[in-house]
Amino acid sequence: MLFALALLQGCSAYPRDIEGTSERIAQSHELHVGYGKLAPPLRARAERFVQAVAATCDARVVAEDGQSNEAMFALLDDNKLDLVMTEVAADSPWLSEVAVIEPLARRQIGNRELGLSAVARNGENRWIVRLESQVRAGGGA
Amino acid sequence: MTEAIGHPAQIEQDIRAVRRLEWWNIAWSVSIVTVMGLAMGSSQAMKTAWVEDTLGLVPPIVILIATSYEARSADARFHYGYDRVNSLGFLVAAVALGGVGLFLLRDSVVALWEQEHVTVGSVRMLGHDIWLGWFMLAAQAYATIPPLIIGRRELPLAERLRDKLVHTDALMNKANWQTGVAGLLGVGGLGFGLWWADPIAAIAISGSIVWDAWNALKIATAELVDGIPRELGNSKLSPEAQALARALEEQFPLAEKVLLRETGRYIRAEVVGVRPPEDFALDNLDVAGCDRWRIDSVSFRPTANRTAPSE
Repeated sequence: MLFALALLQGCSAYPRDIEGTSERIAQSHELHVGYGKLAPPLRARAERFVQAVAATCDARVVAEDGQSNEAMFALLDDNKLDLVMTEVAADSPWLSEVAVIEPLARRQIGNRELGLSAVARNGENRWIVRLESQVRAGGGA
Repeated sequence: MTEAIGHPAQIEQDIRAVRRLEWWNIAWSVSIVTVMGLAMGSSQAMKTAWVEDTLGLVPPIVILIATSYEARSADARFHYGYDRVNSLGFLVAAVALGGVGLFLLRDSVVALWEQEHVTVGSVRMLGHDIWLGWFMLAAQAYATIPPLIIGRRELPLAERLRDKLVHTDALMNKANWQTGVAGLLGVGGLGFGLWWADPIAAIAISGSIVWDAWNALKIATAELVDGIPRELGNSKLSPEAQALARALEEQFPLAEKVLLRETGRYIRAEVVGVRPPEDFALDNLDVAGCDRWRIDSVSFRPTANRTAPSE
């Protein structure tokens, strides 16, 4: 019963992020984004999406460019980035290590499908729900 | 009973009731497994609870199979009938339960050790993005109710039927609400940003699976190695077995020993050191405190050719 009451009381901020990404962005008004090596049309699509997300958070975008996926995922894990926009293969081993949101765009190389996705740190559930909402709403399309 | 077709008349109604209840148990369990499976996502606690719910199907299935076999008469290949099928099934189920429980326990401990952060996303319904954790909480809450009701209804039947399998299943079902609460706390805590709530809940749930398996294993092996007839839920000699032993000792004061063993829900007794009187008939044996249907047979061994137990 106490648990249910606590749940109801905390509903407005429920779910919360384990590492507090949403709160940090709300306080600093900065959204730290890493962009993967993307072809110009994909890069433009990714930037439009990031701008749409930043607008909902009332934050300015602080971008970091051109690093490998591994390096950016490490920065994500280290709380240096809030979001990575990059292409991730449908069978990438990173899928269990980071939260890969449903793709904004897809392309096929050979028999492998690559998706342009927003990638967040695992467990940042409030932040992840916000990113998913933006994707479904066609954010920046 | 062993050499007759069907169950003793005294327990036929309860056997029918227990079989009906187990069909309900299976139907509810399937609905729970389906709901939990659809909602579980990547939560370790949900995954563990789902496996426990799936394994919860094993006892009712074993009960249905065992009661069908038990009703068969002895035949040329099985002179003592099929009373022990339930113990065999129980042993297999206990080993499977224990194996899966240990595997899940290891998984949960690794998740805690490595401080895994579980991602629970959302789904769009009617234009709204809803956090999947809400579905997990609802599924987990649903999963606590049927086992609680079924467990409560199984207990009196298990006591009347002296059925250890039904009794253990009843206790497992009754304990499932604790599993449900652990799962609720795990997913609920995760929603509050507590990463450790999920693996700790999963450890509690998998620990309960291993505990259930250990208890089931003890009960099944005790019967399969000709253990004494025990009380439901513990390892003491059952009062009915004590009453039977006392009655036989009074009737045969020259007997060296009265040995007892349990075969399914029935008791077999052996009087050591005396010859059976010519007029001895099991049906005439009057044992206060022991239902007649439970006594499957009383045999006699004139010479103690094996070492008798010390007590």
